[in-house]
Amino acid sequence: MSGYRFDSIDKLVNTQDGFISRELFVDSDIYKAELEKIFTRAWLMVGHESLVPNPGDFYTSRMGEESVILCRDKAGIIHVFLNSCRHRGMKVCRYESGNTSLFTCPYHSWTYTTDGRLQGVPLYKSLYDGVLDREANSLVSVAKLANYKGTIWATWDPEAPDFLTYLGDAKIHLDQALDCRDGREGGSEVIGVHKWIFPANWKFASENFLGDTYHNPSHRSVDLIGIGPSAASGKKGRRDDELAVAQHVWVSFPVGHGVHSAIQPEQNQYVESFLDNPVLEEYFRHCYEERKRRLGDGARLLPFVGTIFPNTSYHGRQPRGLCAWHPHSPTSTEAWRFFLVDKDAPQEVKDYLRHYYMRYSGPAGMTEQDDLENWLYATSASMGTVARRYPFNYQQSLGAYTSDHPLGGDVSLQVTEQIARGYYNGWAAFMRNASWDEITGGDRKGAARHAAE
Amino acid sequence: MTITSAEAPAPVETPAPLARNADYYRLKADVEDFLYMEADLLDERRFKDWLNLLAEDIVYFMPIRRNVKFGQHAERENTKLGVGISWFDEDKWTLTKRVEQILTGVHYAEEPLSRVCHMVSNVQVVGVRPDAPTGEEVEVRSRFLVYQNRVEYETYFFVGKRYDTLRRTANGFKVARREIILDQNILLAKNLTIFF
Amino acid sequence: MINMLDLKPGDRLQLREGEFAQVVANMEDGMWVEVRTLETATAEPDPSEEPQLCHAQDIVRLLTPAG
Ligand code: FES
Ligand SMILES: [Fe+2]
Repeated sequence: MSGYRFDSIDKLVNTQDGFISRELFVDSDIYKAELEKIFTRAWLMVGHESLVPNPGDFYTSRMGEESVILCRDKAGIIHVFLNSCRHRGMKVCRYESGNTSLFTCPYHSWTYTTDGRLQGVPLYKSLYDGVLDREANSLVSVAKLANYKGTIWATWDPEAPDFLTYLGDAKIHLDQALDCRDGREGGSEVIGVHKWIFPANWKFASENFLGDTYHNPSHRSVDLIGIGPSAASGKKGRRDDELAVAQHVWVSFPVGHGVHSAIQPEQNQYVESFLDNPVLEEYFRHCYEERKRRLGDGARLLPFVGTIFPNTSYHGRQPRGLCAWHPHSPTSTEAWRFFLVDKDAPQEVKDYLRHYYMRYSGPAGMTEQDDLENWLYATSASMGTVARRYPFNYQQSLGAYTSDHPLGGDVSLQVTEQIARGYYNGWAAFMRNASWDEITGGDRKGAARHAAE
Repeated sequence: MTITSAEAPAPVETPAPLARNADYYRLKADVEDFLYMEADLLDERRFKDWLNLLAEDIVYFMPIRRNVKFGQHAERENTKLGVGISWFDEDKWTLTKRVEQILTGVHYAEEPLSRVCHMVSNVQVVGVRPDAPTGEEVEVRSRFLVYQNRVEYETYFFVGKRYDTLRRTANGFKVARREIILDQNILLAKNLTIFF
Repeated sequence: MINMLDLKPGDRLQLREGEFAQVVANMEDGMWVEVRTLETATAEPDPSEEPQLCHAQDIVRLLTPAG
């Protein structure tokens, strides 16, 4: 479609009135611009340190459309490299994971050490001596890398703010997903990854995980039959009941991050949630009390879901996990879904939770299958010439939020599309090459000036 | 069992080949009949009847296949039962839930229902354990090609191998164990809503 | 032609240009091994010498296996 021009970003994204053009979800020019303007600038989640525990361990991952190697070098330092040889671009690593001391290119055998340096060049003396600068031909490295509580994030932009600045006030929500169930910081591990490809625009998934609570009816089938941790004991629904008495909050942050969390009442008590397994019930009760003891009033904040702009999502309760929605084309997405669990949880707990995860999440998950169906047909039914003339409606709970709340950001106490509107405001800022200061909310005047223009 | 070559691990120890006598061919024919009948039930969407073919203690497992270096296939190519995350790691309860979900009529990933066709071939009986504690068990290998077509244009082919343990009961064979080896790495389908 | 995956530390190699080397480590990428150079086919390597990468196509033949 040639109907789109970059000077009209604001016509595509009208969060004031609550309309977002369908072009964002189907147009190939917009898609190409996203790869350039969003995926080469934003912080992207590449993986987890538990995937590369030992020196020489590697795990191939993705950033945007491109393959990257997450690697722990022989000295123990974690790197992320573009998975493409500096000579003719051959993919230097086609294994998913392993341990190595060299990445040897299959094409002409250039070989790179685990810190990315070009170490071996066949016939170097006779063909390259004095000409080839090895240093300058290392594997292309990301500009910045952050290990945040075990999750590995990277950006190609040397100007990008550090990861915590990028995260802003979304931090404490992501923390609830990454920290131990008993309140200790970090301590999680990834013990399995689902990877699959589906024909929908990547933003459907990212947006859904911001906290699209409104799509609950699409999961009616699984709620009717009950697959939660108390299902065999007769409870319907697909999850535990731990948020049953909490005040839910939907928060939109600068950059475009959005979360759906919950705040428990002051006199918060553990809610029985794992009736099918006494070991789990006991374990989670224990974690609950420990967490309360450690965090005090802070323990009232519980996570549900969230998306860190642009394409990293988390499910912070059970079944707990991280998602990377990798763009593959305007209308296809490669999903990577990481199962996350406390490293030192008892084996029976890990086993129970991974089974729960498998029946709930991913392409074989009874809950998420219905999400995928929706994302696919929402994409395909938006491709038509006529369909594209009619923007999506984002008017839900328009204006019903406060920017004056201890959680920071724009906080809604009711189901809302404010988090989606915030997400697309962030999207628009990236797409018009806004400064980092404006993107991260430091330059509110700049944003206001833009809005006034 | 130590395998140093790149051969994929068989889920069960392969016993010496059975003698090709009349008993073998009779058994093989019975097994084939069973597998074809099972495929019919699935393709005719008789999901509850299909559940009746599964033993109460069924293990139904589909590993994720990974790209690993030469020589590491036995060790690392397939995710393992009991460890980490796989495509399916089911018992009778979860398989029953999956059927119940389809039968709600509002499981949108299967509403409207897909058209599914199971092709089963290369059937081999590789072992018989007449004295298994729960009755005679037969180890069967086969290949599958499962075609799925949804709504209008959405079409998937799933191709791979199955390693089954069939248990003989008073009501015919029951599937006691099924390992499904799907020949894909990144799953090339948006969902796995069908049974294998 | 030798399969590099078969080389073991201690194996002696005859290289192009009449050079010799001894395998120090095989990283099993099938293309490169780490070696120390040898003065002659039967000489002992200088253990203080930093091992260097040797590519498959620089190897003429395998001399004596380490035994
Ligand atoms: S493309 Fe890698 S060595 Fe030539
Ligand atoms: Fe959902």
